[in-house]
Amino acid sequence: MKMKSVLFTCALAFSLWATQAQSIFDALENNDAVSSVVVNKSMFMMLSKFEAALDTEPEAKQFVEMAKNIQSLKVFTTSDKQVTAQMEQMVTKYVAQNKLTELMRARDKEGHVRFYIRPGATEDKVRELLMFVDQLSGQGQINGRKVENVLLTIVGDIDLNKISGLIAKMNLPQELNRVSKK
Amino acid sequence: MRRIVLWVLVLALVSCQDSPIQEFFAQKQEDPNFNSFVLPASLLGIAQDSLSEQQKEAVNSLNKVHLIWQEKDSVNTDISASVLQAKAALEDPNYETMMKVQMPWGQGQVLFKGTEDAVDEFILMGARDSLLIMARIMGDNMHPKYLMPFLSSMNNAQPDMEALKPLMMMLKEKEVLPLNQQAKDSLVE
Repeated sequence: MKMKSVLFTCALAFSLWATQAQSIFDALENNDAVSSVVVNKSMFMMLSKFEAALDTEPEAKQFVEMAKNIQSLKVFTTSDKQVTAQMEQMVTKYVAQNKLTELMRARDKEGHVRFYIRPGATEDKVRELLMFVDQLSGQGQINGRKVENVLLTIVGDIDLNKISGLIAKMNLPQELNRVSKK
Repeated sequence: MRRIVLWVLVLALVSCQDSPIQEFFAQKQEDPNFNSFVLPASLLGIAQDSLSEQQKEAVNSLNKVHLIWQEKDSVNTDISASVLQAKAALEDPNYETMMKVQMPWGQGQVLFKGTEDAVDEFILMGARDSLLIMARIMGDNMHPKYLMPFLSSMNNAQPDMEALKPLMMMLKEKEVLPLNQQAKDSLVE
């Protein structure tokens, strides 16, 4: 009997932990000022099976290989200044909590791009890639273009040098190409 | 041993009944504020004889599609409550979320039940200010590789236009589907 209750408590604790571990970014999905795209593993599995059934060019093959190993892809976009600040806080907290390392950061007139990774088996393979584009803290417009601040995370088995296929297929922000060393 | 079997049976029954998504579809099917349309695969009028082996498999894996939708009109001036209700139903633990999109002009979700190689059901939800539409695509062992053969088998399909009319009118009005002129004309006739 005692054993059972211990097991039960463990299970409960685990399930609480599992739901919490989902990600602090999930709150952004319900924010009206944020546009979001969330793609899960099952979608990538099906996409790769769909692509594999076609007569494929090398580029599509690369996508299939990549897509099979992706757990999730989340893209959050906002033009709201406050939400951008909130996103930045989330990123800082997330990076610290999950011990991500900074891959690179770039700054120009238009703003800031930051990349963080969770290192994988080799230098080119990472288990998570996080990108945060902060365009001058979301101040209205730049050169007549609406400011779009982007938070993107990909979790899975990611080869940084093969990411261009994914960017093209999924219509992801071009900034991502910077992580490729080729 | 017997007891375990019994428990498994009870659990299976309970989990069958307790699907918020299925409940939502059943409920809205009867709701006068909603439109409902059940489309059996046979209505698509795909001629089996001329199909390749893979096309046949693809076509036979689909059983039916159940559509429900609510439009914003003089009666239903605000559909946001329905959208919230739909989203709550989509939290169904019996289904796995494949994709969620939220944009200023609308939102959408794709879910499925089964395994990635043998899907029993797909659930699609799309909503914007003036329209909520949900589809439940039911089949047996649907595989992603069937999508292209299925679409190609649709090329020489002879759908039962009379039966499909209410559906096509809605799609046309809402410009959900970019119908070509010929298809539009055939609806007006």
